[in-house]
Amino acid sequence: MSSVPSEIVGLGSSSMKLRVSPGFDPLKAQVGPDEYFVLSRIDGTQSIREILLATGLPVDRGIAIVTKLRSIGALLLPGETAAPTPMSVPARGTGPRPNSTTPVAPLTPPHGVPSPVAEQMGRAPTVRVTPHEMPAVLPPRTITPHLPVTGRTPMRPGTGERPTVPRTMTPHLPMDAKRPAPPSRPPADPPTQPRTQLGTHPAAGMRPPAPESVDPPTVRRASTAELHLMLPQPTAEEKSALAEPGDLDADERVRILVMARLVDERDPWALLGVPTGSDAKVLKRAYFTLSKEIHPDRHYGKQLGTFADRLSVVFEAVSRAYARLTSPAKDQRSGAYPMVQTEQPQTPGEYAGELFQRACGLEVGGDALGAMKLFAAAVRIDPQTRYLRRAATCALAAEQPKTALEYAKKAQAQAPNDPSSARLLALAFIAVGRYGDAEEVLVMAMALKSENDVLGAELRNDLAEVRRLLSSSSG
Amino acid sequence: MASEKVIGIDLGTTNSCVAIVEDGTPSVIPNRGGYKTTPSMVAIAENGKRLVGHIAKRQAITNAENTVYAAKRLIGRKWGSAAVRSSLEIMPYRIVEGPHDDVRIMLRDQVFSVPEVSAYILQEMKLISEEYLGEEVQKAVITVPAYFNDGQRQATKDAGRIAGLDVIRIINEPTAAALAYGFGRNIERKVAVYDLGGGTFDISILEIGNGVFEVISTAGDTFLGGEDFDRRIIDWLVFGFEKQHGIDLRKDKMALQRLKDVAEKAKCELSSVKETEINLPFIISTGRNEALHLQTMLTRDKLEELTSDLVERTVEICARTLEEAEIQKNQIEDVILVGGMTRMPRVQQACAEFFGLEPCKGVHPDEVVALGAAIQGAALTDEKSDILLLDVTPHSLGIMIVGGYFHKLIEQNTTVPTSESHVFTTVKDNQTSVKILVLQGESDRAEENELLGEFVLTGLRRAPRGEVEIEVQFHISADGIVSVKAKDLETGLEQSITVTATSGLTEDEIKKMIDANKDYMVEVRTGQEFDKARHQAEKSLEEIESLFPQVTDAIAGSDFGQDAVKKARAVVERTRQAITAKDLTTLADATEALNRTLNMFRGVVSKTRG
Repeated sequence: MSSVPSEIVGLGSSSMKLRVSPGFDPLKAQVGPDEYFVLSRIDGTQSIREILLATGLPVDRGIAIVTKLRSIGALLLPGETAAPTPMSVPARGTGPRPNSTTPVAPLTPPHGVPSPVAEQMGRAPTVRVTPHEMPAVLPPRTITPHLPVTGRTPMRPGTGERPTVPRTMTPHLPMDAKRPAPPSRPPADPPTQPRTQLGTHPAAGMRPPAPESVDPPTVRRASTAELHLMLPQPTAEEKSALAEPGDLDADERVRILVMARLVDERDPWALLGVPTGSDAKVLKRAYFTLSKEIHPDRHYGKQLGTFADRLSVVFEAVSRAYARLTSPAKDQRSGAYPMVQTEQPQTPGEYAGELFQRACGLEVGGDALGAMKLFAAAVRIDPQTRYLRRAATCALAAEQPKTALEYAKKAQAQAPNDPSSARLLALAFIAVGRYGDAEEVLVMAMALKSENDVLGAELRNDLAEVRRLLSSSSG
Repeated sequence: MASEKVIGIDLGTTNSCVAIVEDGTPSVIPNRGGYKTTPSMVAIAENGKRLVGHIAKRQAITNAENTVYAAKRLIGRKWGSAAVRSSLEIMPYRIVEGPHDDVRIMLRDQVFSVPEVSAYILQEMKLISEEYLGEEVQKAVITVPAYFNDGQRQATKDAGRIAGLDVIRIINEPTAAALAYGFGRNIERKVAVYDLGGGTFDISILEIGNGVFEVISTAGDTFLGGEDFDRRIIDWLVFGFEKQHGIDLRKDKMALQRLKDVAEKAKCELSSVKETEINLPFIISTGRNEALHLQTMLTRDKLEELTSDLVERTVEICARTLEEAEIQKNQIEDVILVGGMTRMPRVQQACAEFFGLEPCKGVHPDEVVALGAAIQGAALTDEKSDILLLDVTPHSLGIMIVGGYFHKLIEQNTTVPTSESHVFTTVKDNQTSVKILVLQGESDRAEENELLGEFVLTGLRRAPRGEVEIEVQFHISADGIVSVKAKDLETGLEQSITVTATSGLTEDEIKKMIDANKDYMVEVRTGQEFDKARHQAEKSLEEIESLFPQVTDAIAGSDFGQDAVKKARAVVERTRQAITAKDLTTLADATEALNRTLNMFRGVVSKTRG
């Protein structure tokens, strides 16, 4: 057994006293028994050296565990109040990973990068990310369009089977240099390459982030295998677009094509690459970042071929999505896009039905005015004939003739063949004093009605009454 | 790509300025005299020589009739427009009607188009930059007031072409100012640009962040600027002189030019001092050969009183713009003042009062626009540039529909590039062609908007009105080029135009076209209520007439059959009367009854069939 070094790589002096982060939940982090054991020793009064010696584990193992606990946000250094920012690992998908046998540079999913420490311990390669370490603009339902080519991680269901990109997929994330990387990489793994050869998201990094990239352009070419992962089952048109001459490089083309698949606007959030319900600030950042990649002006003077139109179409869709999400008042169609993701327990129709039932209850109970209000609400949500008729009747009872007329008109328009709707309308006309209209409606209703039943008799009575009213009002 | 140099030109009403970005730094190019701005003046001397800039300005008093200033006020305008009418009275040079309802300028018996005159100024700016750079310059970004319409922009582009420049982009002056303001600073904020120049007023709201400049809203008045302030001083001087001597100085072109110079000078002086002396000796001679002098004092207070409504107008436009953009005043984090007029203390004060914050002092109001134009030039052509301008279309675009109404497809302040399409229908039975008139503007009436172009889509299927569907699609590219396509959805037949030049049609001509081409029109849901109601009523009338025989047969047997038919006839008659009377309320009532009857008729018919 070797002695504890005075300096631990990535942590600092071994005489430091660590504390457990108050917000850290070991259950959610799925730490193993020996890791939890070490964690349970940490009390803020003993130094790292003392703890490592007290656990009885091999020193190397102990250091690995402490390093890992630190990297997943479990431990606080002296003076820290919040959990540590993840170590400065390069943005996703960079640098060769130790033990990786992948021939191409690994493409890592945004959530859960295999941790070498965990691998050493033979654990599941996924480390949960604590919420505060989540990138601010990461969509919740992100499925990366491509995963490591190695067989260790299961392939995304549907890859290679469906010609189109799944709707929930967000193929691009706004580039943000400051965005924290997944924290699972050990600090000892230095960023060997400043930039990935290819953004892990098809639309990310179309342009190197400011100021400028140090990569020679050749490094940024994607291999054929990768293209197919990002753009599953390319159509003939897409294939020819990839092959045509022009100034855009292969990955720029792929990103534009992937985005072009998303422009049908059903999910503006996905198009902008932000979580549903993101606030205005997040939306703006995403819009600006995307615009810098896809606005035609950013490709001014280049030979673009068919991509000239594609860029315009994609930018227009992005800008429309942004406009709709930020000022829904101006867009009549905005109803199709929920501003915030809400857990709706019932459909509007179901809700209207519930209101209608409650209204009927009140009406029976004699509270015509109270019932009116609920009927009005139900009708507003779901203006079906049944509700409208009942609302009109109720309004007549509540002595709200104007409201009654409004509902009766709508009900009659929806069921022009129905003499009883016509009668209701006539009664409403009578209530507001429009006898001429009432007479007209009644006459038509009677013409409609061939059988001479109770309703027919009622219509006759009503008509007689209206004619009496007419003659007395004119006389 | 060998980065070719692109100059940025601020083609102003009174002064012009040129700038360039070199090694990532934008700077203004001084002219031969060392001045950073050059007067936007063109003159033809007695010997026929063309004079531009400072030289033209210096001889302006003695050669007033042959010296053009403020040509920007006339560019791209129609002879019949109010703007030109008012210019006729005040300009000392001769303005005549051109062959395409456009405006021409007569200088020493030679006729010049306005773009030509502007081209001479642009050429001068090109020369200034070529001398400075020691190489030929071909590409330029030119700025125009944000509220310029397509015709005015196109005319400015034409001027560039005449001057031998490849105008790679026309951008808005306030936007350019914002580019210069935000260039090289890592800022993220909403700003307002208040641009009160020589001839125009513009207000723009922009969102800046991460090198992106997003125009949120822009508005303005193309006929409100420093010249109007000058004119108020001139009017005051003329009025005082007339009261004293009974002579109208405006009748004398030489006197008018001198008044103009002194007014501008006084206005500028009053930005720093409280009062100034106006002294014009020998301004005019009386009939008895006696020379008269004009001598008076003008105070800052008096100037502010004379022009208070002008300042007030700018504030109103600001308020309206914010309201339309749904932005609160307190969301604006900085106000950038652009244009020489913003040196006037009253203007600065009005701005500060309105926005509730001190305007930004960091930019030079005369140079900032040219700098911004140069920055946009570099943003387009220099790979290293990290700037993106998200510009908007300043006016709504749409087509004329039946009744002479304007149906908007693209709303103003929409980010470009953009496209929008809408389905229209035929207006008449068996209509085989439609005429698409492409218009720009905000008025509901077609003739009050600018006509950008027109084309006819023919070969439609013969069908009842409303049955043939025509999709009209608009596209505005990033460089502001408008293209319009109309497509018969049934046959896939297509017609399209790219709006390039302005056709010089007058309002009268458009009105005539409306009358002459009624059969060509398309129909749409229009905001004009009566029109809408009438069309609805007419459709229902047609249908109900066709149903009458069937219904009469069906209900003849019932007790109330005859009665019902009589009632229905009365309803039809009432609707017809309401249409003739053009009364929306009666029509709405009548249509309601009509539709009710129609619905019942339909019911009767379906019952007899079933």
